[in-house]
Formats: sequence, structure tokens, C-alpha cells
Amino acid sequence: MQLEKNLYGYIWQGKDNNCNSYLIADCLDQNKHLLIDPGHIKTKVANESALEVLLKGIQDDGLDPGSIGLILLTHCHPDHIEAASFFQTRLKAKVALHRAEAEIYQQMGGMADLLLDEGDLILGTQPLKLDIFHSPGHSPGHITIYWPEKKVLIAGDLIFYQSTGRTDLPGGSLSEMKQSIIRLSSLDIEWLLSGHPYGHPGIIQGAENVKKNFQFLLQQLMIEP
Amino acid sequence: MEGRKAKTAFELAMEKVAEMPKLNADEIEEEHKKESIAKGEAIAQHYLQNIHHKTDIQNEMTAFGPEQILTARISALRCLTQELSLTKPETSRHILDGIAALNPDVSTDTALKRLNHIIHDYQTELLAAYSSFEKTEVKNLKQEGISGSAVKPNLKALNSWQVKQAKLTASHTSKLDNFQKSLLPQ
Repeated sequence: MQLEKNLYGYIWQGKDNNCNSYLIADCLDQNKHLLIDPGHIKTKVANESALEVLLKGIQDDGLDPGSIGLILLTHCHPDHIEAASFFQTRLKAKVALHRAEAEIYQQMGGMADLLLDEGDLILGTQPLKLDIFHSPGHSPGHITIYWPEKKVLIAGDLIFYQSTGRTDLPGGSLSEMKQSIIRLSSLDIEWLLSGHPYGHPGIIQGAENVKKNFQFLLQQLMIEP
Repeated sequence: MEGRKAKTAFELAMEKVAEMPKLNADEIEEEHKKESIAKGEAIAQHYLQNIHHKTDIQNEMTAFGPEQILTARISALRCLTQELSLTKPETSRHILDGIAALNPDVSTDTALKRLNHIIHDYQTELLAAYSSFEKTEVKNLKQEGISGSAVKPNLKALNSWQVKQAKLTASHTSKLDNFQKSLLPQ
């Protein structure tokens, strides 16, 4: 589903747990695309063909999945990373994640081509600039990706519609999550794209709605906005 | 059955032992040697695990007879020297202290200087090679349209880096091997 020019969202609509994926088209050389969080290959309980659904969604948008040149992983949980190996080995895409998640990714059988830290990521010759924020809380090396030109924040499992990611998983931290959310709340955001469709597609559109969501979360987290 | 007493299992076992051919002098010596090697290794392991202090090593050695002590000492020394590593300089002094306790020809400080020199050379070359590979890879990434302060190549994922690292390590390991040999009694 196209959200903006060159920005696509693939909202998971299956029964089982899987993440939303997002794609920025034509941002790399040779008109290659960037894909964020490819999700499961098959879901764990209902065995749904999550990767097939994603590939079909991309094709239905008139894009070639074979032209995906870079995969960004917001964090290293199986429901976000599993299909990365398909793009890496079959389509020769590069895989990037925060350096704090690299070891666990390796233990899970993956090998990142690129390691990320907080800073800017410049793509293509246009060029397209993304800001990578280290946003721990849900996992130690969780990142969020901000596209200033379009005012888009790809929030992974840090922020959902009226909820936040879990902090009870290994490496999670409520205090770090609070700090991460406070930092991001000051950004100018028109599109907030979450990592899951929990009771809501996970796409919050409009600066006012995004602001309200932040206010709600900060109140829930008992923080003064 | 009258007048015959049932034998205990121990008696039966002892009878079997008595029937076994006796070891000749060479075989006895070989058995003692094996025993001394095993004990020497155990002493070294206890030292490495901080169960024994370096003075305990010397005390343990006095328990060996004059024929076994050299074997046990060399065995313990081999065990300790093999623990010296290019990648764990923090353990060097402790290991060399143990080696010096077993071999009076070794001075910890002098040996440590030589080892640190080998480790320093290795790490300097490794770092230079890493920087050079990283620079090349950053350039390659830029050509593919990926750059910025947030991104660094993961050299672990590169076969060419793995090969380079293995070659470098092998060449410095041979220097370490020679150093290890020099710590054994000549």
C-alpha cells in the first residue's frame, strides 16, 4: 500500500503474530529499494506464509522484490528478522542492524553486512537522508528511522497506537523506553509507522494525531510531556 | 565342597592380577612418565584456575622423585606456555609468573616484554589491516549508494577479511610458538 511518493506500508493482516513492513522505493543506486523489517517467513503458530504475502504486496504495488538492495532491521526479534536471510541470500540485499544486536543476530544464524549506530544514513545519488536513532527499551539495540524530508518515523516496536512495545523481554528496559519515547516526541512527525497492527493498523497519520499519541503514551508512562 | 572356602570378589581379582604378565622395567618407566605428565598438567591447570598460587607449584613439584620431576615440570610448563595467547594479554603476567616458578631461567618481566612486543606487533598489523579493509568497504558501499555516519561495514561478514585475518594470525602465531618454546628448559 502506497502511503506517500516512494513510501509503502505492508500491514500484517494475518491471524498470527508478524510485523508490519515498510519500503522506501528507488532510494538506492540502480533504482533499488530499502525494506524495513521483512518479518517472518512463516508465522510460528498458524504457519501462515508471511513472506509470500509480503512479496505479493510489493508486486501488487508495481515494485520488483528483486530490486530490494538493503534491509534495515529495527531490532533482532524473530517476527521482524526471519525473512531477512531470504533477501540477503537469494536477492543479494545487504542487511543492516544496530551493532548492539549484531551478536544476538549471529547467534540466531544471521550475519549483518552493515552495523548501525545513531547518525545519518545517506542513500542513493539523489540523495535520501535518514536519521537513525538508537531507541532502546524494547531491545538493547532497537533503532527508529526518521525520514525528515517526509516527516516519517518508522518506530519498530517502540511505539504503537496508544501503546508501547514490551519491556519484559531479554534486554528490555522500561526506563530506557521512556527516555527513547521522550526523545522522539520532539520530532516533527506526519507519519508514525509502527511495527505491529495491534488493534489498529499501526499507521498514525497527521502531526496532530501523532502528537496526541505521544501525549497519551507519556501520560501512560507517568511522564510529564 | 567340604574344606573349601568361597573366595571373595577381591580375592578373585587379586588372583587375576597375579596371573597377568609382569611389567618390564621400560614399561614401568613409561607408566611413571605418563603419571608424571598427568600430574604436571593438573598442577598447571590448578594454577591457571587460581586454585594454586605460584609458590604452591614449587611445593607440588617437591613431591616428585628425582626421576619424575623433570617430566612433570616440562609437562606443567608446556601446559602453561600453550595458554599464552595473542588475544588475551591480560592473562600473560599470571601465566608467565607460573612459568618462572617452574623454570628459573625465565624472568617474568623480561618474558613479558618479549610477549607484549609480539602481541603489540600482531594487534598493530591487525588494526591497520582492519582499517584498510574498512576504508575500502566504505568506499564500495558509497559506490552502491550507502553512506553516512550511522553505517559501518561488518567485516566479519566478508570472506576476504576472514582470510586476511587468518593469514595474519597464522604468521604471528608462529612467532608466539617460537617464544613458547624458548620458555621450556633448553
